[in-house]
Amino acid sequence: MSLCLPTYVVIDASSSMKPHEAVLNATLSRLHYNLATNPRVSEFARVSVVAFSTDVHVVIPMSDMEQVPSMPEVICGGGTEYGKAFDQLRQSIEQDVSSLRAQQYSVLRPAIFFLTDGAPTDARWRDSFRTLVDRNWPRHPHVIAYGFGGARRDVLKEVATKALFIADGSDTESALSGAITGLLNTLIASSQTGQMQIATDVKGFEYVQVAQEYVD
Amino acid sequence: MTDSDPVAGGGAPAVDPRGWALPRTVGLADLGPLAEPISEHNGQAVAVRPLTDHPGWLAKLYRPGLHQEDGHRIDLLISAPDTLPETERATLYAGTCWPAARIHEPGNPAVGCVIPMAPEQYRSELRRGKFSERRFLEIDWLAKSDESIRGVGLPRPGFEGRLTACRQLTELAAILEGLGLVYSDWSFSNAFWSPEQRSVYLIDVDGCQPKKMPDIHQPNWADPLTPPGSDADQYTDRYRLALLVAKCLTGRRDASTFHGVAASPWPNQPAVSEVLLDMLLATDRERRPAAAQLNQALNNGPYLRAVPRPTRTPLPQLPPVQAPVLRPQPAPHAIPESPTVTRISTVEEKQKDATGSSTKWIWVLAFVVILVVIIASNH
Repeated sequence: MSLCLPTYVVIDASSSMKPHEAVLNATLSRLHYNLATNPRVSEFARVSVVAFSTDVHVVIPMSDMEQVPSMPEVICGGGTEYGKAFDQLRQSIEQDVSSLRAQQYSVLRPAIFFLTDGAPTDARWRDSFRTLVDRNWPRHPHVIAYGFGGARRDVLKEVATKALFIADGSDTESALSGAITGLLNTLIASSQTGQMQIATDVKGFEYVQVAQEYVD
Repeated sequence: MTDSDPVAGGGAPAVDPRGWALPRTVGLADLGPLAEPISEHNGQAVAVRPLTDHPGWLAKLYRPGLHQEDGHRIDLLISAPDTLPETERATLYAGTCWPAARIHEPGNPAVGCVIPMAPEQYRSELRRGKFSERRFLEIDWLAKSDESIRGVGLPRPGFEGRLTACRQLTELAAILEGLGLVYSDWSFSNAFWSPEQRSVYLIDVDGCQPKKMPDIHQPNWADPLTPPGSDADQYTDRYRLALLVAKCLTGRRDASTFHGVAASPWPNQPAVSEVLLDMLLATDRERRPAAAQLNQALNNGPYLRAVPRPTRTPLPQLPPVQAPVLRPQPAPHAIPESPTVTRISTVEEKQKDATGSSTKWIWVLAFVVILVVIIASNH
């Protein structure tokens, strides 16, 4: 059975990202190009792209990126509701893991790459988060968080279960590019070893070790 | 042996047909300036850096901690082609980045080795959407459909292109096996492919070891009969080579690869399917046929199988969701322009067909009976 890493790229598309929309879309297109032209990685990492603001949207459902013709454009606007994103992720993971198993993949623990430039605007996001990463749920994912712009370190420390990257003062557009490169390097390294290998050297980011990393 | 001991050639600089000018053991300081790394922290190498004074050659610098034995092993590899017939030596040098010299410095016999740069023909332009990039093309791509390959702007290989590449792979594997070397790292990431030249180029061969070596784990390349933690040997290599060839020939990467091979779609290479299935599914790993045997079969030759036949494990199950298409590649000289759909009738459909057929016969019979009655009544 082939190994498979369900991968969720979760993008903050709130209004604070509006000025960086063009860069965000260009960065996502570059991610798509790199995955689609690297068969070994696209075979190993099935990717879903999720954008959230006041609401949440599955931009690309779980796919082999080589089969995705192009990345849809993300239009930013609205609040930064973490809770809805976490609810959607739990639902998607439940479906996607079942689907991948039905295709006879040996499925690794899902990985969420959470990219945000802001603090949550919803009050009850922690309830949704706890449900998502509940260790009693066999499919609970790893969360790797990248914070930049107005993102709050203390909040992201709660969200990251595997690794946390905080922008070291570089502008949002450079940070976005750095985060996607880091994500890509993580997927490449993981595809070589068949297990989660975090690329900790990410340009423009400080790597913060997670206090209580989830170990399977 | 000391760091500066010559390995071959009695102390004189060895003549390397590829043009390496310095001796086979060389001090790091004697190499001249090193350019910026083209690769870092990749496998056993801490960096790979071009040699400014020796265009076309690279210094592959190992992680610290290699031992005296590694120096001996590298020397053995460097001199191994000397024992080969001329044609095999030429094949090995043309198709691999075979090391030309061991790099040492005081206190460290194996700082690294000098290897040739992969030829430019192995770089291709990959286009998708508005992005494009020229880079070394890994053999990964050959394990995709012709349509996928064309989708990134590369020429479609067709069956002939796949066959040619696999013949070269197995020829190189047979040479390594003949030298008693284990590579262990047969996978997508260690060979480049040139769609234009239909050729392949094996990299990281400086990691080869005599007889056995630590099994290099790569996801989806695990040999089911080499237990985790045990060493890789020639039989592990045979399994991985067969897996690589099966994937490249069929253009598939999952369980359907095995079914594609079992369907024997290669009329001009009738023995290939049997050799591959024995290499992949033999229950006794030591009954896996040699690389040379596979190479012979790919070159339209016979399979001289030992008797009794090796027993095989069953083919792996196909994914239930994705319908099996047992047409890995069209036969040579019969490449359709558009994809063909193989439709497999269900049991109900077959029964329906059979029912329809018998109904027709009843009508024909009735017509004949009526005709006979009419003719009889007219007499």
